[in-house]
Amino acid sequence: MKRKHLLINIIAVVAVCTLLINVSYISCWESGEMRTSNSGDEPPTIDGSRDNLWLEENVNVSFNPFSKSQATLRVFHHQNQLFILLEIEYQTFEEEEQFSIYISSSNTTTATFTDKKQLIMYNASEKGNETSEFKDLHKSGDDYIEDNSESSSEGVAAYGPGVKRYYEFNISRSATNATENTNITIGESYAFKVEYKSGDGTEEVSDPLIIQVGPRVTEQNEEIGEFNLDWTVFSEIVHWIVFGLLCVFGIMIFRNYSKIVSLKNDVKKYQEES
Amino acid sequence: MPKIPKNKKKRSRKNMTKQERIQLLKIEQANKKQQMFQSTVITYLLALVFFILSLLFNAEYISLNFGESTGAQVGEIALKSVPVILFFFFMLVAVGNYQEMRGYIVTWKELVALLVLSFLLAGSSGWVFFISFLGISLIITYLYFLQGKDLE
Repeated sequence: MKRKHLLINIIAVVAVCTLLINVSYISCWESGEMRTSNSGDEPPTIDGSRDNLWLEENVNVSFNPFSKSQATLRVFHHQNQLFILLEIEYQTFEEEEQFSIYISSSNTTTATFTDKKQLIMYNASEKGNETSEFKDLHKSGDDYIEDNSESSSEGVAAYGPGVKRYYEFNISRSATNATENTNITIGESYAFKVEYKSGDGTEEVSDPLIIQVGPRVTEQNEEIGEFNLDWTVFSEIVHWIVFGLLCVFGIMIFRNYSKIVSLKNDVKKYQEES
Repeated sequence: MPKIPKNKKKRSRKNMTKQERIQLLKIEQANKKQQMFQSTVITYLLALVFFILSLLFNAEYISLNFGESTGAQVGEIALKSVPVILFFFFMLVAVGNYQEMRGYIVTWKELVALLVLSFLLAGSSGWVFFISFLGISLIITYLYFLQGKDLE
């Protein structure tokens, strides 16, 4: 009976841990802060302590979507998130100017880009108050609807020729999600496209870029297949399972506490009697 | 000075009735159990602390990007493997105390289970696994050859 109870406890804890791990990934497509460059030269930080994540050696893909090389898209996968950074150098600052990143679950260059995700950055300047806004949309049925996940925007510190602006998104890799279309899976390939619309109606669209979400391809591990294991994630899952087992062991220890207390009382009783 | 009460105690034990001796034995056993419980809790909490450190570094909740130099790499591997080694050590002591408190000893089953769990925790990279393997092997060797010999 005791063994049965222990087995049930362990299974329950493991199940709870698995659920917790999945729940932590549910906030898929949560867009991070849009950051701006102060100096206009260096890529922004993801947060104050992780500046070096945007170093070239971490970046999976860095490409110039437009012939004019006004913009650079950088993408890399780290831990549970896909980081996307769009760097734009404004020569002019036109009204109704808009950049969009389209993401498709198709992994071919013929992707329609109407099935997954659209991140739009647009100029929302008013006189004397130059700001940019962004929209985080996902495909639902025939339309793009605003993602429920939190999104934030940040005003640009300085505008002018030669000043670079950075839009940064960190997208959680998800095991489960309320909206199927916003899932992103490790090992899967996605197509990216960048689109620019100027105020006077001129449009420029980049070629599709295919990115496999997973560990960075290096010379040593060029062949990254769908079934390759991400050891960091593996380690994380193992840690949570062990945490569950530790909790069970902790419960087992503290269940003896009442016995120890009664023993203490007994000792007092004996000492008083003697 | 300490000899007098000791002799007194010995004498008094001789003069004790059977019931009194049983009571004294029970008190001693109870005190021993209390100490074991305290030791189990302390070592369990220490193991928990090192487990949390291992979780933070190995599951990369805290990113360790010290740089590309050899020293930085060694530091990173040490920060990832030392918590695993110490987790194994304190957990083994905690399990040992717990089993002793219940009147049992640590068997191969518990030892193997702990070994497997610790090696899995160190699975984030090859070097971390290797260093953890060395550390854990040293601990087992120490416990088996030195502590085990003392018991003999």
